[in-house]
Amino acid sequence: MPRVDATSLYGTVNLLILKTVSRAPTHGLGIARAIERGSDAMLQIEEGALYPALQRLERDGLLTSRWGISDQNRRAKFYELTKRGEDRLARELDGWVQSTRAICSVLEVGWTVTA
Amino acid sequence: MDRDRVGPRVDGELRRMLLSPGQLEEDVRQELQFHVEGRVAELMDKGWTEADARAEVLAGFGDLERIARECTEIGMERLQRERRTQRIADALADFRYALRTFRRNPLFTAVVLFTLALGIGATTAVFTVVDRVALRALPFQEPERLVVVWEQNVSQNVTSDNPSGSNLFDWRQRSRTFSGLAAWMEVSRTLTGVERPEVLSAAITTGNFMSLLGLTPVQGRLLAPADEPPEGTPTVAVLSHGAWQRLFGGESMLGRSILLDGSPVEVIGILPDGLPAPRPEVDVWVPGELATPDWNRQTRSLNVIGRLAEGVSIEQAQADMDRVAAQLAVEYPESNSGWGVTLVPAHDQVVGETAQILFVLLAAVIAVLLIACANVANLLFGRAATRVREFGVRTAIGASTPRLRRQLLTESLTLGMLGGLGGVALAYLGVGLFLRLEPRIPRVEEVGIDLRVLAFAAAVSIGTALLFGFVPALRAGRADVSQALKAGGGSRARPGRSGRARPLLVVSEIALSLVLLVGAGLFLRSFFTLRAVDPGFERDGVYAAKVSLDRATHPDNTARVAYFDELLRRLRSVPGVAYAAVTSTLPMDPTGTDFDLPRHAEGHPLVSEGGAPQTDYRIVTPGYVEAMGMELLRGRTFNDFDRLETPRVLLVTESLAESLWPGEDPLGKRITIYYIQDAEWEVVGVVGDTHHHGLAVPASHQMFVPLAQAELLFGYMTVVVKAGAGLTLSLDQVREAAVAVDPNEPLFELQSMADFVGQSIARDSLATISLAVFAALALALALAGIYGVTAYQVASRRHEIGVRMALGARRGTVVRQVLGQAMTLALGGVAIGLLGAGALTSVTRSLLFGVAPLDPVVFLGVPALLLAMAALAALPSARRAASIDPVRAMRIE
Repeated sequence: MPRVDATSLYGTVNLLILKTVSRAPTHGLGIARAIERGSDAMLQIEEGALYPALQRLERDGLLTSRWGISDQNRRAKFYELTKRGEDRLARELDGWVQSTRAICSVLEVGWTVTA
Repeated sequence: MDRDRVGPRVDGELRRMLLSPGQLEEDVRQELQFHVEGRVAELMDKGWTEADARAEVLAGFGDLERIARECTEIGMERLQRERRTQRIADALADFRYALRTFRRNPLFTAVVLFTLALGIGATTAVFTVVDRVALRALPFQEPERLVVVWEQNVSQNVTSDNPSGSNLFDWRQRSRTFSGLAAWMEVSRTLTGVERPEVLSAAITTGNFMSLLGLTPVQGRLLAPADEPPEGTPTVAVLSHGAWQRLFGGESMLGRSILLDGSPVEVIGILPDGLPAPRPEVDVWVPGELATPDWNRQTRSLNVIGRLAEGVSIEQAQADMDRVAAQLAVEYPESNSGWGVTLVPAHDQVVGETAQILFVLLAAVIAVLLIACANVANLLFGRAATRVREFGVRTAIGASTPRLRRQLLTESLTLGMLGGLGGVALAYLGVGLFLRLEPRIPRVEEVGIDLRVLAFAAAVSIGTALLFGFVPALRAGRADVSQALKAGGGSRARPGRSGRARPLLVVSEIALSLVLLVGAGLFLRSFFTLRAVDPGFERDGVYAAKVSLDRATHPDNTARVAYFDELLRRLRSVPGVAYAAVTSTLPMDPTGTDFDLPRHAEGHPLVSEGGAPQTDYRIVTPGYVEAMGMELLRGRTFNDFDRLETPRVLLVTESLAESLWPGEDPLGKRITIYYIQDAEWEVVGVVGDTHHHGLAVPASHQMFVPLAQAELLFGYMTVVVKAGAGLTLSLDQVREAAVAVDPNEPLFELQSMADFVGQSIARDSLATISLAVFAALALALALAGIYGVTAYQVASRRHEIGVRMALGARRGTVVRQVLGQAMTLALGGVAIGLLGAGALTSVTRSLLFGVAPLDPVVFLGVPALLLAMAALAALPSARRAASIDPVRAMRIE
């Protein structure tokens, strides 16, 4: 099965990260795994894109981080959604759904997208 | 201890410390490392060897270093943002905390705010005046190119005489450095054809005058060169905005005709108010052909203003005019020999001397502000001592020193801004009060608080806050935590290093206030000396008013003499009037006519008219000397028998007689006055000198001729009436008498000679009063400073004093010691202040009258006064020290 590099989907990396983190505080590795798992390994996120993206999201106040202990009992940096992050996620999700729906309809691809 | 007391938002200090750049980089590395290890573990679970797994993962990563660097860079941006946000949040928290602190210390806050408001308010008020009057350019187009042109004659000691129209004509023809030369003359014109005829202040100008200044009309158009009437009366006029409102209620006047001195002129434009030149009071402007070659070159009566050509300096223009004046002196030796030209920048001409006084006042008020700052700093020191514990606690729970300093500075800035607000309110009141005093200074009509002044007040407030808050804030960082916490309550904190800073502040306060007091003392002495000058005429019970004679109804001297005879007859019958007379020229009248004529006195070598000395010339009616209360030293005054057909007679002043004929009897001597008929006049009396141009100006030589024999027609004359001894007279009846003679010739500008004298020294009195007020403020603040610092010293040394008293020290010794310390400070301040005051004599010298800049009365009296007041200010603390109960004082320890 061909794999898709998630970073090639413009703007989606942030969306994927925010969505993943919104479920529970997660470290970088956990985020990468969750995305792979969630897409049935269709989407793979490059580390070279993931970590700068996390820093950017934290810089913009959408994420906040703190050090904690991972499942394997190791020290890891966990990311968490801020209030602003939640708002942004809801907005971007909505926008993504809208535009995807529009594109699908133009391409005459039958698909149902809901947020 | 409640949460509030510890500081602003305690949780703010306990929250996660911001990362350092090094920590950030380490974090990023650890995070990436965690990722790598996790992936390696995943692969090893699938059966990879560790080495293969690691190689695979690292290959997937690409350039690990580059990723780490990129992450660190983005992280740094975050840190900067967080730091900024934190700082703003801290500042807001500090601000709220400051307000809370102030509410909890209302007395302290009130004293500080009042002190600041006083200092900032006074400074802002003075700046408002200085800015408008002295700093801002005149409200004309390119005002820096405007110069006022005077004639001058070095040999006759005339520095600035009015130019004559014929000289102006030649200057216009021959000068190469001006883009234009214009002239004006101030006159009065009677407005008739209205319900209540009124004498207007008028200006005759050359047609180019308004465009040369670059004025813009409110309505209609300005006067233009084509409006200059070829002969006689003008046909158009421009009204000032104020006169238009006052006289015609602002109704449309353009194109309408008004009657000036009985002749109709058409109103063509309205000028804005508040023009500082020639005089803000001018009601109406009419064009006149002032620059003509047929003008008598000796009649120097114009005001001339020039606009320098583009790029020409005033020095170049001066050189150019020197050349022209030299030509004219050769061509017209009769009138122009010895006469040159002086150029004065228009701004200097308008505000010159006043600006000097204003800058002195500004310096004085800034000194007051500095003293206020020192006082506030002193109060802050005192309070910092009681807050040692608060800061100790905050340091203990993690507040950094810069953080504490920022908080203290925020408190200072908040105090400064609040004080500044109060200051602006005080300045607003102060400026209003100042304008209410109707100070006779140029451009005062422009004075008002505006954005520029507000910006100044804000800058002063912030500067002040930094000044008084800086040292206490620096000191806060040095608080010793364990000491502070151990010390228990804050009431008896150790003086520490602030023990040295506070006395220094007091010394500088005293030094500054001594300088101000000496300045005020000198000005006061000067002012009283000035006021005590005998003007040579009486001030009280003597009233003067102007009357303007319509040239149409009183065309010649006979008609005018008849009019005045009738007017004086009626005035003398007003109850209370002892004398009534008319003069061409009233002493100390800022708006009067004043001129001199060349003359030749008997017994002196005859010189040509142009080289003849000039003497002030006045035309008066019989009774003038008596009405003014002048002294008749020899001979007689004029009487009704001095008529046109009788021999010409003349009065001279004492100093003129003495200089013309020293040691001789002046009575019967003859003087030839070069005017229309070059006639000879016989001296029949000698009168006392009068100070004509102001009390500070030495009496000038004057000669008086009777109106009945004079050849001149004046635009207006001044009526003088004197009340009989012990009688009061009704000014309304005086006015009515004039209206009864001719309803179209009302009296105007009626006021007492005391008013005229007062106005002539108004600027001196303004400077003196202001300086005295500032010095009093400075003194009060400095005394408060002494009181504060001695009270603090006594409070912080209670224990020591108690011990000494327990060991047998007498109360008197304790009092002496406290007083002694205060006096040491005062003496130090006085010594420094005397040096400062001595160094400033060069500034005050030119502003003082009849007082030496190092006047011993002031330079000895003021320090003595200040020392005595300082002792008084320290006395309450000394007595408190003496009343300390040794037992209780030691028990507290």
